[in-house]
Amino acid sequence: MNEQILTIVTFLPTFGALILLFLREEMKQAIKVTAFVTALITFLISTYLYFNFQPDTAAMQFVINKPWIKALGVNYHLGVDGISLFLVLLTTLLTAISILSSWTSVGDRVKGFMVSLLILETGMLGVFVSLDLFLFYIFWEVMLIPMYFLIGIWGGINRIYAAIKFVLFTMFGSLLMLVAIVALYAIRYKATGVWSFDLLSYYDLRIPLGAQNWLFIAFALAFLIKVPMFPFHTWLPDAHVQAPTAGSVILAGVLLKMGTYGFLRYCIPMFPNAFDTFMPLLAVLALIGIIYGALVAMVQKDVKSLVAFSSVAHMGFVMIGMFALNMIGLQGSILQMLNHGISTGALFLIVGMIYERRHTRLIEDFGGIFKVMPIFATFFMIVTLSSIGLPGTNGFVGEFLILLGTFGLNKVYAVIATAGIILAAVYMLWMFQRVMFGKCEKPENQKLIDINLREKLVLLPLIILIFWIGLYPKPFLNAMAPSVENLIEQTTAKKMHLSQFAVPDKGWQIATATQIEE
Amino acid sequence: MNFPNVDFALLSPSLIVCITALLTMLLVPFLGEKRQAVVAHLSWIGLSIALVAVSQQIGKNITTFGGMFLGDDFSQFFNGIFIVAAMLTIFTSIDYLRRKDNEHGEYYPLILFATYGMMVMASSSNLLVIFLGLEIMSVSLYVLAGFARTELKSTEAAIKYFLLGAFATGFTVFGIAFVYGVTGTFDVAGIINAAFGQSNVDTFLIIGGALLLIGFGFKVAAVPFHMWAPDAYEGAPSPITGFMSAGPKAAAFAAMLRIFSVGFGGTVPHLQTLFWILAVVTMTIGNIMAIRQNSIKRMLAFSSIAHAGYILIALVVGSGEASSAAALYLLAYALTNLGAFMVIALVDSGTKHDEFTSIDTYTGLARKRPYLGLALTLFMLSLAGFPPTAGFMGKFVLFKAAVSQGFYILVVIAVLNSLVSVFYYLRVVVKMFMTEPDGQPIEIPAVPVFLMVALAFAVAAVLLIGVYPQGWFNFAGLTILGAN
Repeated sequence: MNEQILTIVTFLPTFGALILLFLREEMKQAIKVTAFVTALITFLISTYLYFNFQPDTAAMQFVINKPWIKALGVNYHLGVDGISLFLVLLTTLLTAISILSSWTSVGDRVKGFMVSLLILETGMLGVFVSLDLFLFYIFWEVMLIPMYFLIGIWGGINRIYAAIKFVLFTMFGSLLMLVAIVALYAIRYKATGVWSFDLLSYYDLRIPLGAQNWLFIAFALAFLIKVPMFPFHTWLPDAHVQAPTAGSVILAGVLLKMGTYGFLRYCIPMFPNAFDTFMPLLAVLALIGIIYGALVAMVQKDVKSLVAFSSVAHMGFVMIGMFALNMIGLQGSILQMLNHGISTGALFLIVGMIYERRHTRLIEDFGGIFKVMPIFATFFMIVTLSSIGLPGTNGFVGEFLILLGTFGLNKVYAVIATAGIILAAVYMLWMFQRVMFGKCEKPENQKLIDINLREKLVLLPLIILIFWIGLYPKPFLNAMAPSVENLIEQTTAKKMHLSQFAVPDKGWQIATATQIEE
Repeated sequence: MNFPNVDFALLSPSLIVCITALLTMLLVPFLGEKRQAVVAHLSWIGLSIALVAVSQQIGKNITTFGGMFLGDDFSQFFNGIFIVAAMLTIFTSIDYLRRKDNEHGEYYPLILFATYGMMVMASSSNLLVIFLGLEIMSVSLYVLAGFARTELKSTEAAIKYFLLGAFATGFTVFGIAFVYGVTGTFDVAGIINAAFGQSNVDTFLIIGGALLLIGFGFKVAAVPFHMWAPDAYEGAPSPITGFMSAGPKAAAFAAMLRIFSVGFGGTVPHLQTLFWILAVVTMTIGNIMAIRQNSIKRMLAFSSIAHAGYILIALVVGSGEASSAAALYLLAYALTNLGAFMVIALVDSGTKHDEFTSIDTYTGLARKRPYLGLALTLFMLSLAGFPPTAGFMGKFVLFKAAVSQGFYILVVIAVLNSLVSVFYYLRVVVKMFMTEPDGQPIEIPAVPVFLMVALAFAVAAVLLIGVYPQGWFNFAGLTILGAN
């Protein structure tokens, strides 16, 4: 069971999608139920990972490692550790929630919609669990196409532009990453004489500094676009605003995490020296992202693009915490990935609910909704506060740890980042005030109906998580601690090792790459 | 007179194709106008027997006719591509010709003759024999390109293809003459003997190589010898366009790999620089021009030019690994493009005349025919090189071969080019899935049985090579050139 569990979790959604292909387009109810049941079962099975996870080891767990394409040295190698465990759970949870949230809002071509979502889920899970560079790249690209369809078919007015922009931006990064992967593969072959894509063995590979810089740039670019970090963020607002609610939830909740996860899993441990070199530049970009995202969010007229820009700011936090490369900062960063998935996912769901009722998202079209939809307003309030980072909610724990970690790195960075939190409070609360309070003057708004049972069920799990992480984050932090510690130790050791032996910097000097002796 | 010892088992695949072609050609006049499809069925049966014969020859690596005819795995791999391409084309054509009111039995023997020519091309390292195969293939294709004789565009395609093709043939012959003049032999091995290890390679040998490059550059539609391709691709009947992009391209590359990677390989650095430039220019111009096209056939013509540019990377690298990567790439490309042209032929056959090739025709196609739309999407993604499709595997092995020899800049240019290509391939997907037709949508005929079989085969093959390519690697790994 332990060996098969990751395969089951990853491919169950695809299996469900295949079943959907046999249902006729007219059987809308059956299609929705099948899709939801598939996603729910996937989530339930994935909780097995949580309950059977050994929190006292940094080793990969639930590992499966079978040869796949022998001629290229590609293995079917899956596994989770403390870093990826919660991202897997987040993915399975958010997919189930977003299917439930699309129950009534998607009426056209339901089958295609559900099939896309389920295949997307397989792609996302695959990215988080694969421990083979080739396999990772395949999943990384596979998830692009269903997302492209989700935005392009079921999106808003400018959906085609947004969809193509999304694909081209992501492809730009990932194609350069492909070249870097192939180059690494060749470097590893020259060093060890074996063609292999096994990720863990790359951690021990001593790559000359010049080559490290180039490879780091190629990998980092792919991840930075995905995160997205300033100035590569321009695809994000377009994609978010045009995407259907479920698409936005998945996009913000999971897809962006692939960038930050990629940094943790690939960029930092594989190229520690290059990371050291580029870190100040990246940290400044993250800080610009925090401030810029917040300022732009403040002036948005559309609630959805406000949330989209707030994502740019929040992801900046995740990045800066990671760059500190200390225990607290990294734990905060990983926790904040989850928090952002939960809070921003919930915000997009809320925006979707109100859009479904009013067919507008402009802030000025609302006002005084609190009195008309009290339950909705309460949920909205909790999520807004969690997004700001009020103590007692998840956002506080994550941001506090990140700030502590950043303080250890550089005090100026920490001060600037803190300013970002204040700005976040400004734009979120101001938006909330304009939408929810004041007089309910518009007649359309007075007739709004409060959220129904399905919508409550959609939001409830996220609200529970907001308080759980906010009040008792220990299980989360404990589970990720050994892996984070191991990552830091490994990276520092490799960095020291390389600078000690100071391989002369001659650009592409492939032949000098060697394996670190145990 | 002593007749050389001929190994007929080795010849059997090409002989079967040739004999089937002759027999069916003779049969055509005896069949009534309504029963011309019989020729089609006989043709694909003959081809499938030839395919079995090919499979019997794998791993034997022997030669016959005094070394003029090779039976190495490299040629068997390509023979397989040609035969499958011809079969898929025949399956696509049966209903297409009927709907276009152009059912003439000669069509099928011509495809078989072209296939025979390709098989000869891929099975020899003798320049003269390669030339013979080239001509058998080309002449048949000239006729096929103009097969829709009542259509102006088809006639135009045939005339352009023929005139420029004949011109290019002149270069090929001239090149062969120069090489013969220097080396005194037609065999590729002679080039190695004449050039290897010498500090000053004979100028005439280099001129000969460059002339051969022009001749073959025309056949694979490398820039700047590509001008014929868009018109010929657009005017030819849709199934033939698919065939042209799959078979002859693979055959010409097979011959080029033999001549340049083995013959000139590593001996003439000038040619490597030339190939480098040719590869970059070809892929870039092909991709940029493809963006502006409104006809899907023209777009795929430019895309085929771009793909020729990617494959030229193998000739720049020149290693054995690169040629086997090119072989896999050509297989993936052939299957994908044939699949795409099956859908195009089906849409095209909705009318008697050829106005159904604009990309706008595909507006909203997926709503009415979702599976057809998905199939074409899969082929577009494979052409763009998305995993897990055959197109990705082909690109990956090609890039790996180039990177392991240190050609980083070339590979970076190639991936940036494939980024450009994503844009125009996805345009078709956008039309099919994300837009609604303004007026009355066009009628697309139901998928006939044979086309269904061919389409299912193409989809399965593209996915299979993408998801589990191990078997193909075992085979393609054997095809590494240079061992002979």
